[in-house]
Amino acid sequence: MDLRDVMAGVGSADFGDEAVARSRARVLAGIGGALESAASGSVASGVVASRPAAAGVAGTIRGPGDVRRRRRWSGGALAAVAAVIVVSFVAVGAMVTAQWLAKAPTAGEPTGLDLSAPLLAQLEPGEYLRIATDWERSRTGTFIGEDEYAVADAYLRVREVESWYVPADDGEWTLGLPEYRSELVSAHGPDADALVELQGWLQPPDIRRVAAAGITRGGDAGLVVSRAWLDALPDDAHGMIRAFADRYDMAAGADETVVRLMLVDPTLLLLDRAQRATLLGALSDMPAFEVVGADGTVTVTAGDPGAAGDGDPAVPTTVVFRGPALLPLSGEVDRSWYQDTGSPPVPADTWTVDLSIVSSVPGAPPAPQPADPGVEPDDPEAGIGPDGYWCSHRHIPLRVLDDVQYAEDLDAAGNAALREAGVWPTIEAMPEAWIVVSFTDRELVLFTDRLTMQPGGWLLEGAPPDHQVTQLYREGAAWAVMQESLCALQHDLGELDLADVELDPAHPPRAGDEEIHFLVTERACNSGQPATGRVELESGFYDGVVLEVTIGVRPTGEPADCPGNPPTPFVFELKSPWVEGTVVRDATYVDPRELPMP
Amino acid sequence: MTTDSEIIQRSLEVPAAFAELFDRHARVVGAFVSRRVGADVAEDIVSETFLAAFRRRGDFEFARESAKPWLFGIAVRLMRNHRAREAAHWRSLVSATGAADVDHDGEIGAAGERMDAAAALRRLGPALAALPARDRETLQLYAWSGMTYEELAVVLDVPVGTVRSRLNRVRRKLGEAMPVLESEEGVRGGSA
Repeated sequence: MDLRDVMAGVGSADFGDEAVARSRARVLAGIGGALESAASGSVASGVVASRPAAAGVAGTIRGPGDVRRRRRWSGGALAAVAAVIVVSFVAVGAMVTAQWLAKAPTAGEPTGLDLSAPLLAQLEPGEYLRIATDWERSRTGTFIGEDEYAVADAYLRVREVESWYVPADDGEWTLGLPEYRSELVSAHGPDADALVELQGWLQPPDIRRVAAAGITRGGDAGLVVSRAWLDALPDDAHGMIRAFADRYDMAAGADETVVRLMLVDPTLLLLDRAQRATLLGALSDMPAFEVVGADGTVTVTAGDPGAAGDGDPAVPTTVVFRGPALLPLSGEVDRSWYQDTGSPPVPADTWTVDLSIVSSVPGAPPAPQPADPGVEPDDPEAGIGPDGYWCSHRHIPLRVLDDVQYAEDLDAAGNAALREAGVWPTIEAMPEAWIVVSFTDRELVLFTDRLTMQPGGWLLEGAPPDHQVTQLYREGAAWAVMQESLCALQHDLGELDLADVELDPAHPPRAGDEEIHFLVTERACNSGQPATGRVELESGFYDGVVLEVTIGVRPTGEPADCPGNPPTPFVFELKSPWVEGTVVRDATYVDPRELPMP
Repeated sequence: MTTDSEIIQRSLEVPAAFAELFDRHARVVGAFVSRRVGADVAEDIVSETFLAAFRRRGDFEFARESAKPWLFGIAVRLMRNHRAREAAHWRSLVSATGAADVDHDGEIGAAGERMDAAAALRRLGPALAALPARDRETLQLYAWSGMTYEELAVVLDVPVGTVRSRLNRVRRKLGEAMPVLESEEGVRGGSA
């Protein structure tokens, strides 16, 4: 039995001839009234006397033409596109690409800054130094069908603006990686159309906030530096290189690789001129680098892969230091040697830097802090204990799932935000699968377990993603996508921070063991110190078949730098002896993840 | 046969032509409105619907041949100004159907397959009354307007997937009282 059968007996469809005739008369009278009003220049109410005016309602009516249609993809003979070169790409479905691109500024002359003086010293409280690196990159890709594999005979030129907003003090940095949705500049080669259509090149805006000094989470710690770190930076070249190596968490003896990273690191702009000059002087003595000064510029060229060594992933890199302060303001990176596209030669990625002083930063999700698990301040359950989940630095309060609001439940304002930000086609495909995490006049956050993005290479190295979070942010009058991320959903451990857990390779489990040895790496910043004494077992379960552990780290609450932390040993005591073949799982993941046996 | 689109286009130059659109759709719109809010206010709402449509006829998407979803969309919005009346009307409908004829353990009686619409309503009345307003509105449109999912999406200004998920949710909820409704299979022409 269908709903229509059931509902056929409900109510009375009582609208007979007389009712039709009376309504018709009113409508015709109203049409006449409207015409008369229009003719006299007034607003037509179009409503007959004694009837309630409908003008207010009419103003909100949307015609069918306002309904945006979901775009259909033409897959062709190729079933999928593989992740392409350099960055982790995402498939954003039918996302509209133009909505944010128009807002990406064009780099111009630096404003509000004296480029001959130290940059940070020119900031007033509340101001930020905006370092915007305007990249034009070459992108290509690989098509993978069921029985075929083909390198795209094409490349795209894609513009991406990567911005750092450096605060006047040791407050939070805001990073736009990229700040705007990537912009297609041009397409080249026979497969160019297919490459464009598959949109693997398209990067959504990714705005992050990272504390330069203090507790933070995530993998952004290596991107920012504290004032103390800058102040303590040695004046000699070797000391500087070692300091950057520590920041990059790289081993000693990799000076050449460290310098290659330094050359494209905006942090170089924050050093004193004398430090940059010292560094350039040292590079002149390193065989891998060629330093040429001319016309007020110093050009550093890092050699090709052959010169750098066998198998070295280094690529030819050129950086131009300009002006009296020797600021690295432009350059290029030639990745053509491993971007095999067939006929069209792939040009180098080029970049220029735009510097300015600004007083505001783009919107971003709040940096998760141990003291702020993400619940509302007036939430009576705040601080009681675990109450939700984490997905890509975004807290998902449990109450969001207790009283679910789906995307399809959003009001007109919410729908307008989705449309304006260009995510409507994605959401429209399955509005019942997107859960609203928060919706204010500035921010709309949704998450889902139906993935529409493809994980990039780096993600594949970790826990496979099972959820996706999207954050929209309203900057002025315009809504835009601020974050689209995949995650492996993890439990919120309340007062404990999440950590990376592995079995200790030095103590692999053996039959009969009564202790299992783990290595626990604190994700939060702790100045590179171990979490000794702060690793805690939230829960553990062992039955001779499976061992599931939920392990977290109690934060210090002290300010800390973020060079990366060493693993900390942790021993789990079994109540019965270890059985060979037992599976070990990290139960901080909602879908517990099996830990590889050492 | 002249399409709705052509009538509306003509009415931009000859306003009186709009009367033909009224003649085509007033009865079906009126029947729907009457079921929703009662016959006593249905005339007002139908009149307001067509007057609003007349004022907004320049916004009509002329690529569409039928104006039916557009007109229903206007009527639905106008009816939202009559929520109190609609609620009272709905309560009276549910009350009129009486208490559900269920067994002590809550199961539907043995005559499920032979159940006619009225009997079904008696069983489903409380569940229908408990539906969220938006789900009930979608159900009413689906059941009483005869429109397709795609047309309902236009009426409600939501994606067609939302229409589908709302109706599936309605089926699930009502299916607890009447299991034959739980599956979308057997829907007649709903997703055309």
